[in-house]
Amino acid sequence: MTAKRNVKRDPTLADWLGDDVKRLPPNDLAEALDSAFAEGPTKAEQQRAASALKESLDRELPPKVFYDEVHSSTLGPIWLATSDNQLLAVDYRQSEEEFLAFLSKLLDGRFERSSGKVAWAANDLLAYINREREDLQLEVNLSTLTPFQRSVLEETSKVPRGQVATYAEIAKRIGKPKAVRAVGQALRRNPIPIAVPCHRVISSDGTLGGYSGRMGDERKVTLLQIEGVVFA
Amino acid sequence: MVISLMSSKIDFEALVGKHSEELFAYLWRMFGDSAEAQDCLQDTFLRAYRAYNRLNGESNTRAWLYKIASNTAFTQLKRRGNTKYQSAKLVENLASREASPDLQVEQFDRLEQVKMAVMALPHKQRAALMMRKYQEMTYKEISQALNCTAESARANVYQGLRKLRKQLAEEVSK
Repeated sequence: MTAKRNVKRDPTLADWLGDDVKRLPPNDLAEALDSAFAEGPTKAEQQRAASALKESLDRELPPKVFYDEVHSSTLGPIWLATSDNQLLAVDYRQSEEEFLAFLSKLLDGRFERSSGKVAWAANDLLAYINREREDLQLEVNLSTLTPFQRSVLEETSKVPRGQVATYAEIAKRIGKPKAVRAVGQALRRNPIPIAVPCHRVISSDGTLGGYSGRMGDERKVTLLQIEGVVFA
Repeated sequence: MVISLMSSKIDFEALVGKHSEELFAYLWRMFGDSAEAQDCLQDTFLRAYRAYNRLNGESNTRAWLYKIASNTAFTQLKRRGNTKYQSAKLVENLASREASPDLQVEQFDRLEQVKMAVMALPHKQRAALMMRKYQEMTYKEISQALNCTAESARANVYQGLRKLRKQLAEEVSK
């Protein structure tokens, strides 16, 4: 309250204490302050601080994870996340927030949206979907998964393009013939669809057996068609 | 839907890219020293990363970062023990700026006086003053950063200025 009373007696100061950021304090003080603080740190100081900050974050925090959205006419929007050289996630979620929520549950990282940093994977993926290339050999990272999930996805990756396997066959191949349902679960939670071709695994009765998302079955059919699988 | 938004992490690197320069400038003004500001900047972003989940979509991210930076700076200043600005550091800083050799001694003394007076202010007053005058923040943002009311932010700037004016006037009359 005393502040208020004093302000009234000092109109120049009162001016500056208003809400306009650009206004200045009384001249004498303004000049004195500006001489010492207006310029702020030098460019060299800024650069040193920036590189020290980068080093510190790289040392103390989990690695960077780059992500971006690509558009495919046949499959809709596709979000993907990569490290410098590994594909970490592929996802059909609709919004950036939903994708980031999914991603932060999957792995710990400093997320950075960057079309440039994911381009190496995005280009291959789109070329594959658009039938411009037949092989898709992106290095994937499955280290955040349980050993069981990993073994299912590794086995699934061996199913060649243009062919399909059943859940029961995958279960048998990993030495757990009774774990058919668990195989289905592991594939449903595949964090890197398309690159790990879970779409090539179907039910023993010849039905599709599900795929991620609301338009899941359609996407599964589309991917299999791209790979030359003929539906009777 | 709201819940999923609040718990999701956003683009952390974009935050670093967007705000690290201005935060460094702010801390540089708080410490009057480049090396200390540099350390504090790193701690600020490490803390920000760890507190990220508590930031929801409605927060003013900029004010939130200033709040972390200010708290980190206050702790660091307290740990340092003396609130008195060391003039040796100023000399160092000036040297590193490659100040022109014919810089008047008088001017130099004046500059040092101002810096020392500002560094001797209570930390909260200095913080409010610097945010207001050089970081282009509104009183609303400053109040968020200093965890007080806008009125109190304003009073801090005012008290700081009054103290400075008094002290610098005394110096001149000496």
